[in-house]
Parts: sequence; C-alpha cells; structure tokens
Amino acid sequence: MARGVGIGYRSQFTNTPELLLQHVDFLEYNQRPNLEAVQADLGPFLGKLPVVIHSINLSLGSVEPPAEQRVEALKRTADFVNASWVSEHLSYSRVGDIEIENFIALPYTDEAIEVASKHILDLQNFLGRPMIMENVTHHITWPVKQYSEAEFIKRVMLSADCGLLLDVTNLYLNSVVHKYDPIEYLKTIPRDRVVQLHLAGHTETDGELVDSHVGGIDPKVMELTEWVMDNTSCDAMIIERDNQLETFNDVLEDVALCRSVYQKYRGAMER
Amino acid sequence: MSLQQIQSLMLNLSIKPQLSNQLFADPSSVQASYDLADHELQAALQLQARDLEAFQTHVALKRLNRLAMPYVTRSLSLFSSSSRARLLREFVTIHEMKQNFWMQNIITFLDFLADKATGDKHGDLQREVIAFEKWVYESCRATDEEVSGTGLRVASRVRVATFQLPGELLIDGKFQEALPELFGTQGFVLAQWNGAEVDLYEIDSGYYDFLKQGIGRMFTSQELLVLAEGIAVRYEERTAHEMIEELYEAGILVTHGKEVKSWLEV
Repeated sequence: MARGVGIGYRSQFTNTPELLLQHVDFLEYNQRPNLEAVQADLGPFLGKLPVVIHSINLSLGSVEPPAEQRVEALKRTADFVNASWVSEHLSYSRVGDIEIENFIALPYTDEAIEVASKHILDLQNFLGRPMIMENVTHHITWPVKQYSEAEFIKRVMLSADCGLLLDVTNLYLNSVVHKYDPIEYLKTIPRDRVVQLHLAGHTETDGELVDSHVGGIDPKVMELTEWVMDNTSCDAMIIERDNQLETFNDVLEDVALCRSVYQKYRGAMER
Repeated sequence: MSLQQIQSLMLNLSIKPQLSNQLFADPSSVQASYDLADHELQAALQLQARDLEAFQTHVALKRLNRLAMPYVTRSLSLFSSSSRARLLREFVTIHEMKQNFWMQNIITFLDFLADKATGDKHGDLQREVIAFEKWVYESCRATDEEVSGTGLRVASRVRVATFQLPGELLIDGKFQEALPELFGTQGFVLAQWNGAEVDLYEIDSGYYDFLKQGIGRMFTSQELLVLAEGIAVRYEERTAHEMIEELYEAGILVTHGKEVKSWLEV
C-alpha cells in the first residue's frame, strides 16, 4: 500500500531510478494508454515501490460517461502496476465533440453530485480498486450553487464512497482567489476521506496565481499540510513538479521538506 | 437546472470568446442556441465578463502549453502579457478548436503574430524572431531529398539560416532589454531534427557558408576538401581540415555508402 512521501513520476527521472528508490516511498504515475510505455517507465520500480495511478482525461463530472477505451486502458495500467488506488479530478472537461485540457469546476448542485458520483462508483467497481478524487483550481464557477465547494466535495465523497486527493496547493490558491478560509474548508471534509496530498510550488504572473508545479512549496501551503497531517488520517504525500525540472536532484529539497512534515506527524517510514 | 445545458454552455464559452460577447450583448440568442431555461440564462448572466476572458485565455494557453508552446514561446514573449491574452483569444476566435489542434496551427499562429507585430523597429524585431521560429518549425519537418551514391554529405534534417539577431540570443530566447540594440547583428543558426525535438546550435559565418553549399549534395573527400578550403581561405580562422573535422565529430557531416574512407585520410 502506498504511504509516505512520493513523487509524481516524470520522464526526467528515467536515468536515475536508484535516486528515486533511495528518496521516495511511492510513485504516482500519470496514466498512459500504451502499456509498453508504462512498462518502460516503471519497470525499474515495480515490486520495489508502491504505485498509484493518476488519470487526467476521464472527465467524470461530465453528464456523458467516460470514454470506454480510456477506462479500459486505465484498468490495464492499474492492474499492471497493482495500483494502491486510482485518482481523477472532480471536474469536467468534455461535452459532445468539445474536449479541453482544463479541469472545470462542477456546479455545486445535487445534480452534479449525482452525475459525478455515479461515474465514480461505476469506475471504482470496474477497476476493483479505490478511487480518490482531486480538488481542482478554478477561476470561474457556475454562479448558482446549493453548496459550498467543501460541502460539495464532502457530499461526493460520501455518495460515491471514494476518497479525496487533496491538492493542498490548489486549495491554497483557491482560498486566496475566492477569499475563503482554507481551514474551514478542511474542517468540512470528513477526516477519514483524505487519502493523498498533492504538493507543488506555484507562481504569480501579472497578479495571477498559477498552479505551475515549480519548485519551492510555499510555507503557507506547508502550514495547511501540517494541519491536514495533524487532523486527518491522510498518510500519503505526492510532490508534483513539471517546471524547473531537469533531473531528480531538482526535487530533493521539496522531498526533504515533505519528509520532515511527514515524520513529525507519522514518524519515520520503515524502508 | 440542467447540468447538460450548463456544461455545454461553459465548454463552448471556454473555446469561443465571441460567445461571451454574444451572451451579454444578445442573451436571448444564446438562450435559444443552448436551450437554456430562463433561470439558467439569468445564472449565466451573473458570470463576470472579465472572469470569462481570463477563463478563455487560461484554456487557450493551457492547450497551447500542452505540446506547441516550445515552437512559439520566443515569439509570444515579445508581446506584453495583456497583448498575449488578447491575441490568443483573437486567434482561437478565428480558428475554433473543439479539440486541441494547436500543433496543426503553429505556422498559422506564427503568421498571425507576425501580422500583429507593430512599430517600425520593434515590429521588425518581432517579425525577425517570429521568422526564426517559423524557420525552425518548417525546415526541420521538411524531408530531405533522396541522395544516392557514396561519399560524404551533411547529415539529414540539418538546416542553416541567418537572421538579423545573434544566433545565441535566438536559441536561448532569453530576450533582454538590449534586444533592440542587437537587432541588425547578423547571426547564424544550425537546426537539426533529432526525431523528437529540434536541436539548435549557433554557428559562425564560415560554417554557415560551408553548410549552405553542402546541404543536399554528395561529396568525395577531395571535393569536400576543395569546398572547405575555399571557405577557410576566405575567413582565415581555421584550416579546411579543422572545419571538416569539427563538423564530422559533431555528426553534422556523415559518411554515406560503403566506399568512404575517413576524411582524415584525404
């Protein structure tokens, strides 16, 4: 079972598997439909590190069900790596023949809870593995809502019987942009549903906060992380890095930072 | 409230900047097009125009970032942040993308940016950088003509070009404020498609002249040496042997066929 401090696998790590094995407790792998590619990427780690799979294009919040071939490919990958769990985003990005790469926040309504929950439950049953859903950043939400964002997430968790992949950076950025209290948000989420965290550095460009996955996780994000580790059953952290990344050495500082927080609340991992 | 209608409207708003203008200018037409109930239209009208603009820019930028950004990043960097946002929205209004078609639109986008370059000197500078990125993209996708026979030749998918800016600056793309002062400085660049991405190198005028004449031709060792000697004499910076040796070791000059001896034996 995945637990401890992990890293989102990136191609920049290909040549240094020994460093990953030395420094992280598990891997998060972004779903690729080609199983040979998965095997090539993860070969050095299978059987040595637990793996979780992160899916990005199922659009489980869309009214239309996810594309069958994508779901089947996801199951092949999850089975191949014996994933501890599979994650997706609590959002939508597809309708009819339109598909965008962005994750749009669902309207915080009963109908959206019902639609997303059905797709999550169906997928969870098909995969035969736990699903956890990620909170997304958003600059725009549907103006008419029945619930707060946190209450909406809570209801989906309970209705779909799934976990939460809490992206702490996303939570922090949303709380700043939309001016809400992130601790109140966290207090709304059932404590036993927070399964995994995403942590990443962010940037500010022309006054806009961007979840840019750079290095250097903000101290305010780490403060929230400490709250989560102190108040929930969460036992798994993933560092996400897509920029300012040439080799695994570039993430070592963030790994050490997360390791210190993890050990403070959960003790040292036996490795 | 119908989730289907909301999702259809929001996804269309995300890729059609003109639709948000229509929403506020002529709401009833949007209501009819997207089959919105009155209360759904009223909710849509609560969306802020500036938030929708930011949303559309964000979607366009993220899609561009996905694959195509490395091919246009230098050109975009020459425009201010607000101009970039405006230009992106304008482009996706003209070239609607229901799926991510940015890779198929790179040349069209660079041409679009070149048309938007304004001001005499700054506009010339912008157009030169855009021309560079267009050259990088186009030249490295053009396949080589079949070359028969045996001998030495410039490696396949190698292109050279000259621009009115230093090659190193164009390659790095880290444009500083000194950029306008450097405009007019002739720079020479070599590009080679390595199968996954474009490798770029700054070269000097000697190598540029040599490669410009050599690309697409097959040489015997002697013919190559004659060509190199003519250029080496002209520039007096290196011997013909040094020039060929450097290119050979870098894999820019390659042997073709089985007969060829090492050029060092010439």
